[in-house]
Amino acid sequence: MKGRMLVTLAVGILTVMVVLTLLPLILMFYTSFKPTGTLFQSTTEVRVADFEIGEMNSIGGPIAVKAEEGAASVVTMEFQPAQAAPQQNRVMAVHYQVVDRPVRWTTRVGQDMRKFAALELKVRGEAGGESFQIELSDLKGRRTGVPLQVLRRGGLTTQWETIRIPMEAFRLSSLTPGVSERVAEELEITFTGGTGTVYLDDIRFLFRGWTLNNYWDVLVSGPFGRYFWNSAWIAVVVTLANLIFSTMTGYAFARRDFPFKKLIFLSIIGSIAIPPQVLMVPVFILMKHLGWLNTYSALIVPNLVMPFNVFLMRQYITKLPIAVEEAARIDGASEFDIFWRVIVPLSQPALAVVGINTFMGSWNTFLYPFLLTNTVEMRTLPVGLALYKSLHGVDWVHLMAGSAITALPVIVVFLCFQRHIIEGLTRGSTVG
Amino acid sequence: MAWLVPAPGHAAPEEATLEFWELSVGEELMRSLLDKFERQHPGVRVRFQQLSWDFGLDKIITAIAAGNPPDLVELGTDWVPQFSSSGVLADVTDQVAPFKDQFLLWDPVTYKGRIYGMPWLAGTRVLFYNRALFARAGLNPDAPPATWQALLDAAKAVDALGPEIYGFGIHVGEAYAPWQEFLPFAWGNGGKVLDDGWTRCLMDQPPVVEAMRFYKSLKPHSLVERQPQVNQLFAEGRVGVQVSGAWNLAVIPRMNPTLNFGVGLVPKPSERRGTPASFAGGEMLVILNSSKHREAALQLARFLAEEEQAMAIVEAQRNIIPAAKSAMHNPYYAGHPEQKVFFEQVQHAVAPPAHPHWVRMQERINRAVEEVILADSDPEKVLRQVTADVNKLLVIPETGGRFSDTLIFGGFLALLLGVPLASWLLKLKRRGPKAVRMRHSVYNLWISGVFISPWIITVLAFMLVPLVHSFVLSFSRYNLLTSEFGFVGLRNYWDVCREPEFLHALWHTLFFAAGSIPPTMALALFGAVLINQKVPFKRFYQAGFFLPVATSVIVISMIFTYLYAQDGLVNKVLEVLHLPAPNPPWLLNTKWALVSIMLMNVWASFGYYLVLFLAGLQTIPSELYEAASIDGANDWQKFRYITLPQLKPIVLLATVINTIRALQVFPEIFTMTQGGPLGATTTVVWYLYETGFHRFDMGHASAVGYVLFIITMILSWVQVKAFKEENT
Repeated sequence: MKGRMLVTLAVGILTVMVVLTLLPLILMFYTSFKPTGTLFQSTTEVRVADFEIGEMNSIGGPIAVKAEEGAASVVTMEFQPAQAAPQQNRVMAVHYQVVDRPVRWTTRVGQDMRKFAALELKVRGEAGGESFQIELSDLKGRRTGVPLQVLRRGGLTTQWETIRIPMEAFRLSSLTPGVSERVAEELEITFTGGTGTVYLDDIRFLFRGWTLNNYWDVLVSGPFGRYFWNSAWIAVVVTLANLIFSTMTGYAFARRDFPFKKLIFLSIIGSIAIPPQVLMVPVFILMKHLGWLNTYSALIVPNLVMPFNVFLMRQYITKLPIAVEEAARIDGASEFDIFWRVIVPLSQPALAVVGINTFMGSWNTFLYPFLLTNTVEMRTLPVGLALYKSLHGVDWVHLMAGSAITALPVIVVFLCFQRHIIEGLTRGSTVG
Repeated sequence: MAWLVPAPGHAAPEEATLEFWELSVGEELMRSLLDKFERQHPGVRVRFQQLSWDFGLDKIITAIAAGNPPDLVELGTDWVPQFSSSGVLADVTDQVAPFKDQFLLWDPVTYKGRIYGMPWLAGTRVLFYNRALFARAGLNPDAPPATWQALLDAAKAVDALGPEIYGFGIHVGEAYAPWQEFLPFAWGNGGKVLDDGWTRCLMDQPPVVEAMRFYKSLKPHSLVERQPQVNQLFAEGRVGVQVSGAWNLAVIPRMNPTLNFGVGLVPKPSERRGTPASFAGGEMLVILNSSKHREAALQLARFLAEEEQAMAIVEAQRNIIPAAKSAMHNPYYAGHPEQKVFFEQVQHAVAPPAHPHWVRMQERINRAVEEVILADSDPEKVLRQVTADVNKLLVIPETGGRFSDTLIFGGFLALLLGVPLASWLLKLKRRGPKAVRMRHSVYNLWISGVFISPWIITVLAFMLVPLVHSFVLSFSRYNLLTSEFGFVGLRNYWDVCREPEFLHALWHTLFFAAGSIPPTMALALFGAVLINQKVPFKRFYQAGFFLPVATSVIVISMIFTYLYAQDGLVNKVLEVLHLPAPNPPWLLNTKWALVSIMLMNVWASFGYYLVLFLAGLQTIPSELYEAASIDGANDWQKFRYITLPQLKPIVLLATVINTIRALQVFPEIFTMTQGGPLGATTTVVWYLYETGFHRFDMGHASAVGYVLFIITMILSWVQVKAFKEENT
């Protein structure tokens, strides 16, 4: 009875602790799927223009009308107070007279169109039957449009109505070819014929709900795919090397005798305590002399045997029962046979610990990869992430997608090997 | 002059591969520009490297120190003086003369009348204001405040809109924003940092004091925060006005696409007096003296600075303007009037003095702004102190020591390493000849050698060589930038031990270790014991606690910077609980900044020790507990007399590891506070990094490293001893 209460209490406390522990990471994943915004703020729409404040649109961009030079067509615009509406409630009136070439009313948008589900605007015609084309154009003047006729056969009426255009109606691929973002610089209302007046209000873009765009941006069209590969390759090689070499070295320290053994072993412990910043410049100079700058070698070779792993393996092997080895030796096994057939299999639990430790360390390390790599082809995830941060400011959604990509593999590796790790630490009581 | 600019249109005659490093453009675009350059200049290939603002300088310095610098590199205006005065840059005065009129911003690359670089892109700070808030506060949304009074009035009016809204944003807690934002007010008021001959600091003169008083008067209506946080709140529509860089034209719409904001010139003192001054910054392209292809490098620099290429960068980034004067009439600006404001602002922009010690002066001015704003100090008093300190920097210290000291130094080193080694060998012989002799047969040695060779080789090459190298440095004066080298004996160590800055850093580090290790251990032990109570979903809890450990420190720091902000999650929770939040917020508060990082550190690391302890717990034989139960022991007694003693070896190991890690705390400081506010988070490694890579004093930095190493060893030894004693 008392035992069950204790367990319930423990579960309660643990759950609270785990939730608190995971909260920042959950925020990270949550943010990475948002189309835009910050960790806490969610935006559902971009109101491009409601014509309420000043002479600019609602995101601070200019509003203008354009007729081609030399054309006889005319277009003008004015901010008009809405009928039967309180102060501070204005609409946009566009007067047009198309004689030869089309005229345009335009306003700045400057947004990545992939984030949006639809464009919505309120319109009304002066006489009814007015029509136009709704277009998006990029910085270089490439445009894609939807004729109003497609949505409202017979054009506008004299009543306000809300038009909703799903983004799929536009051919977004014609904007900004060559890059993944589809930035529409301007939203344009193009009049191709006739004369009349059109009233506009509340032009807004509605966001999609959840999106994988952020991941797509950083991973496929951004450089994170390459970073990922680099990190993975380096981490795998370093981990494999450490599994073999640190066992070898640990075995030598645990079971064999050679001169300066104690001194060398102490130096292993000592080397963990040296701040790596002291070695930054000397290591850089060394790598330069070796011609290893910006190569995998520079990131892999120095880490083939990490001191902490040697320390762990030595502690573990010291505690293995020596009888098995002695028996093998009596049976005439060579030193290498003993190592390979006795020590390595017996060390499996400790190897799991070394493996995950090394993988994690290698995956997350920042200082030397930052210092020793020069190009996008060689960078690892943490370096790429830090670089991305300082190049793109606090672009939380992309930053969190990049962070998630950086964090996820280690999390997955840990979850897969979790049991072995605990077992490894437990079975040999490795540590100590 | 061995190298001259060829007649226009002629490509460099020889095959040349240029190495070019830049910080602000981005890989994709830069590559396309360089491809174009290569097509126009057959025979010249350009390899380029994208750096970033946070880490660029360190990398450039390291490369110069290693004798491996690029041919052409981008430098921020404030970095150029140190480089040009230290003689590592190529003098291009004669080469740029023919086209000098076509570009802006020559001041930052000019040192003692000679020109050491090519202005590329100009950046300056302008006024950003929230049009929607202006309209709500009854101000004209199309008229940004143009005078100090108007700015103060606007800040007051907007601030009055509600407790969640701030009138103005004051930037503190970082290296550039505070001084770059404050000095324009002083410059606009006719103030100067130095007199024209660089003989005297003028920061205590009335124009500067007045400006500082005005700046301080904005504080009650302002959000005082780090620049990213001010920006964040500005983007959320909660800050009326801020003075910020052009990059925000691109950043803010990304952060909040719905924000209705405008830009204007920095306000001037009054309608009739002063100028709307701003900070003239920007990107310069400089050629390294060591370059073998200076001619081609200059061609590339000019190519990149020309209107066409510069405009391609502007159009992609919208956060900078070309240094090429002709760009002002580029059709792009007709459609983007808000970006044209930057051109106008640049006309009134002032470049800070290109003094070789400018970086240290700016550090000092930066601190002064923080002292006035964060610590509420008296402007006049603070500025008097600044003047005194800057005056000291104006007397350039003598350069000494030469490489000829190598011999003395070599002897010293041999003595230093040889004596302990010899004595150890002697001791070894005396102590146990039998044990040593016994198993050292040649065959056995050979086998041992095979087993430890991978480790020995990597350690010798990548640990010992750099270690000896840096050890050598710790006994010398070694300037990273100029490669000036000289033996100074124990001087560095002596300096380190009596320097108040280092002692502060040491105190912070020890405080960090002492304050974060016990909670980490306690939390880990507590969690491990709970999980060991045969709870269901054991593995779920284990994994949950471990995940932060698996996450990169870079990622964690970014998340927590946000959590600790003025309106971050932590403050929101406190608000719900009706608890007072520290003001200024966590990471900016001299009392709380280090504690905040400690808490984050506990969060990020306790899972690791929890898993270790859990493993330890599972090895404790259950018979012990059963026996104790029979003897009538209660749960606490079982924990105290069975669990704890059995766990002791693991706790010892965990404590030692944790101590070493805590003493080396760095990436967190690097990404979150950069040692600030007012030095409150300066730890030993941060201090080391700053001395080595910002002040270029690598000898001193190495000495700091070794002092830290000794302290670490002593602490670990004490811990081991203490545990062992308790055991017996």
